[in-house]
Amino acid sequence: MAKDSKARRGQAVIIVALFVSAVIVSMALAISRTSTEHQLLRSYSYNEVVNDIDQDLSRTLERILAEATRIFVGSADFDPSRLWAKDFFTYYVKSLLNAYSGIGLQVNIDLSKSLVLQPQKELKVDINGVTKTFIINERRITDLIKAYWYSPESISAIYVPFAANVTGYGFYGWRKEVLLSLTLDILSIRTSTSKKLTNLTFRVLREGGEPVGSLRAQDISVLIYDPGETGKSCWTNASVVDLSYNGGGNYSVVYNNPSSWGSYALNRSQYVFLRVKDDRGIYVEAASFTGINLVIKENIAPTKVYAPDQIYVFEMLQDGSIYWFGEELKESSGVDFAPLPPLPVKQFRVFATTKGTSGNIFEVPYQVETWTPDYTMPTPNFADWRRRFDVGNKLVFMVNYTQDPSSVVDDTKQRVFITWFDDTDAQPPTYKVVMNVSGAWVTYNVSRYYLELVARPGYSNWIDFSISMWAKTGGYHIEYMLVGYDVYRMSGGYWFPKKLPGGDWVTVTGPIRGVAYRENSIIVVPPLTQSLTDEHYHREYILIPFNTPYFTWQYYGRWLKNTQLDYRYLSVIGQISGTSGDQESSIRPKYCSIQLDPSNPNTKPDRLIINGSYHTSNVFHRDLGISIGGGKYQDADNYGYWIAQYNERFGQGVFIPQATREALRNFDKSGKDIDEVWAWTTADYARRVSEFDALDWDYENAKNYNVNKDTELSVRAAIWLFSGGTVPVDYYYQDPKDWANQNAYKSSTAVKTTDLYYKMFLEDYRPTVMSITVG
Amino acid sequence: MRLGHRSGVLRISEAMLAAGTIVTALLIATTFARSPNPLSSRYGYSLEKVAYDVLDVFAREGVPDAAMFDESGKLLSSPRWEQSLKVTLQGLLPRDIVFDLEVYNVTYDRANNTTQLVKLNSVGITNAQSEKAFVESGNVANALRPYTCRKFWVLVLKLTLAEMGGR
Repeated sequence: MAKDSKARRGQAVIIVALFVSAVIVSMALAISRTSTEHQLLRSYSYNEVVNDIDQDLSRTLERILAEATRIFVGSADFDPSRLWAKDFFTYYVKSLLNAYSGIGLQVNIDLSKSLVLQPQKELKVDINGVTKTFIINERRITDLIKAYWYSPESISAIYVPFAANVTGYGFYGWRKEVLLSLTLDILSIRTSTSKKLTNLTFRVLREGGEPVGSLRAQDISVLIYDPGETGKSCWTNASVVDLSYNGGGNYSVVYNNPSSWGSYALNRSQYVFLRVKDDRGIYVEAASFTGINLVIKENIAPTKVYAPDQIYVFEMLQDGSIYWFGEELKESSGVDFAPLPPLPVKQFRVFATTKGTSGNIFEVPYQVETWTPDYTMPTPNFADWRRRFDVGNKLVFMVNYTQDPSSVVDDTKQRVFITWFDDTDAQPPTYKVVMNVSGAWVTYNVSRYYLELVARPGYSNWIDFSISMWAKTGGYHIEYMLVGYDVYRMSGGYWFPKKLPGGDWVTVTGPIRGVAYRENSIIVVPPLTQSLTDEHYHREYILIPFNTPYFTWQYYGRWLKNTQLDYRYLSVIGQISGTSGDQESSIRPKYCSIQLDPSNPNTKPDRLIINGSYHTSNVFHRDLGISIGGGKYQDADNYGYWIAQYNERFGQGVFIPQATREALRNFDKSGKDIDEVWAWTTADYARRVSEFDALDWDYENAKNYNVNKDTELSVRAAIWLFSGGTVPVDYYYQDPKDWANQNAYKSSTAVKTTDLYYKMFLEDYRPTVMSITVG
Repeated sequence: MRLGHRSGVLRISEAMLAAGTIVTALLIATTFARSPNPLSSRYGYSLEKVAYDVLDVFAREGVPDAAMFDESGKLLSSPRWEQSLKVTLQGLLPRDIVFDLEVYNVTYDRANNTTQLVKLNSVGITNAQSEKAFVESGNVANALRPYTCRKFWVLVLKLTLAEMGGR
């Protein structure tokens, strides 16, 4: 028994030892497990992933907005900015998904969701002590980025509604909306005429109204109106004297007044174009005004005359000056033009009244064109809208007058409102002019007519009368020759003109006006199939507006050397009708009307217009060379400002301004009256011709006329389409002094149109800018 | 007596066996139950958190932009930029932490609408003598972070940390 008892005690010690050992090992395992538990739970990881995505998303969106606004500043088109931003954002999100694919990141982003950035509000700006109120419409953001610029309060923003799950961590339903923005407010402009300083104050805030206090001088660009040198932008960088930060995102910048302001300082100081870049690199641009109100009056008659086709195509330049048919409009006293700000041209919109200044305004056809900086010639970028409005650009818009038959409605004056959208997603105007190119031919379809042009004439039969205006109603056409000189004698007759300005035309169209232009020193000599490049420099353009009855043409030429002509002859613009296939047809124009010069002593008060009919064979109807017996010659140098060809259904007139008539009258320096309107019927197919000639054809004296080097020719014309008219068949007369070799008529219903509208194109009757206000 | 002698020897043997068992248990226990992590004791958080914090500093301070690209946004030559990042990491981390940073560029195949991680660093951005340092360390942590550069590369930074010399 004792032996068993001792043996059991020994076993108990071992058992206890084993138990104690088991406890120790278990505790150690528990401690070890505890110490490594965090590696299994990953409690830190999901927090870190969410925070990282959150922070990186915000920083990435900052950079996207900065880059997108930078692109926009340079491109003047917001679409590339958005396309780039969305493409990069897609790439970024895919990168996130790829990087976190191991933890099952799922992302849902709905960029079509819209968010109100700002509700509609009234904005007040203190301009030289006067509080101006601007209505800012509700501003929303969608489609990732948005920029509302060019108003006194401008904003750049990026917005992403973001939802995500991290399935690997069992983390679902994470939702977040990220909105980043930069807002710029122009608060006041105050100029001191005595100190010749202007103080501009503005405020810069980021999202959540947080002030931006880190702007440096190089982060700010202040453009002010300085109408100094022609050919240079009238928007210049302000000469900044001081920039100070006043807290709360408020800044004031003081700059010198340009010397060009003079006594207009109070008015001209109100035009400010401000660009700011914050420390994130985000841009925003603001303008101190949002539109220009003008009242423009037509002047073709002392009192209203119903003239529904009185449609002007006005051209507004960067400095605010307005032109029509190459002439600056008249201005009422006290009118100071307001400049167009240097913003993307697609932002502009033009509205005008139709029934006088108190009527409702409607959007009118408009476009922006790019010309050379001195505005003398169009450029190949004529209709390029991806640009900022700059020197060389023209804002072109149409205003229609006197289209209401009621004499009670005073639509001789119309109110025009030129404004620009703050929404940078604004699209450029849609094209109304359709231009087709077919081989050497280019056709402009402008609703009322087609203009056909042999744009690459070479030495074809179309080299001279290479422009053709086709009526859509009436279905016929008249062709035009624009400048030709000298006459070539060939066996059995004469070829004239011997020489013509040559070279291909550049043809472009914008939304509401097409253009064809060329500039070179090429002179073609069709009878000899030759060309010269050392005789005559020329530049010319044709402007073809939409839905008007006219197109216009402008020409400048200069002789490069002393040039002896085979025969004296210089035609400035001529019209010809009739083809080889319709000699006997009634569809041809058969009448010609010519306005006489009322100041010419030979002009009878009851016969201010000559109306004649063409012949069926080669004769001259009006020409200085026509002898009327007794040594007297017809006074074809008596002419006014228009000529026209027509029949009962169709007609076209040529209107010239006063300066062109003077150019015709004064081209010859010898003092002879050898300029004329030449009307005749040709030998080939009895075609009908009427033309303004600076030098008549002197067929009797060969090699008898020289054009001196540096002689210039600067002329313009408008070609007007109308519906023709009739002459009283029993009321004709035959007087070779008026119209030789055919009947003349004492009246014509056709001339009512031409005699009504030609004043539109005369300098003395150009419209007047009555008032300009800026808001 | 003989019986008593044999009994004494047996007890001693049993006692030694019991003591040996306990000592063995203690040895096993010490193998599992190590002393507290000195890093955690010093910084109050885990190695993984340290890794994320380092990458956060990288992002906030724009370290990849500054270290990897020139003014025009062109990637600097290798191993210049890798060396810059290594020096930056050495400055941020205690000496007893070994690190290995891998930098990936995310390429985007627009035609197929796919992305791919392409490793950018051609030399290691690490202070470890060999990969063994990470294998042998009982405390290894990884962190990952996307980073959008100023010139619009999307990078993915993968940082691995380990305590030098194991636990």
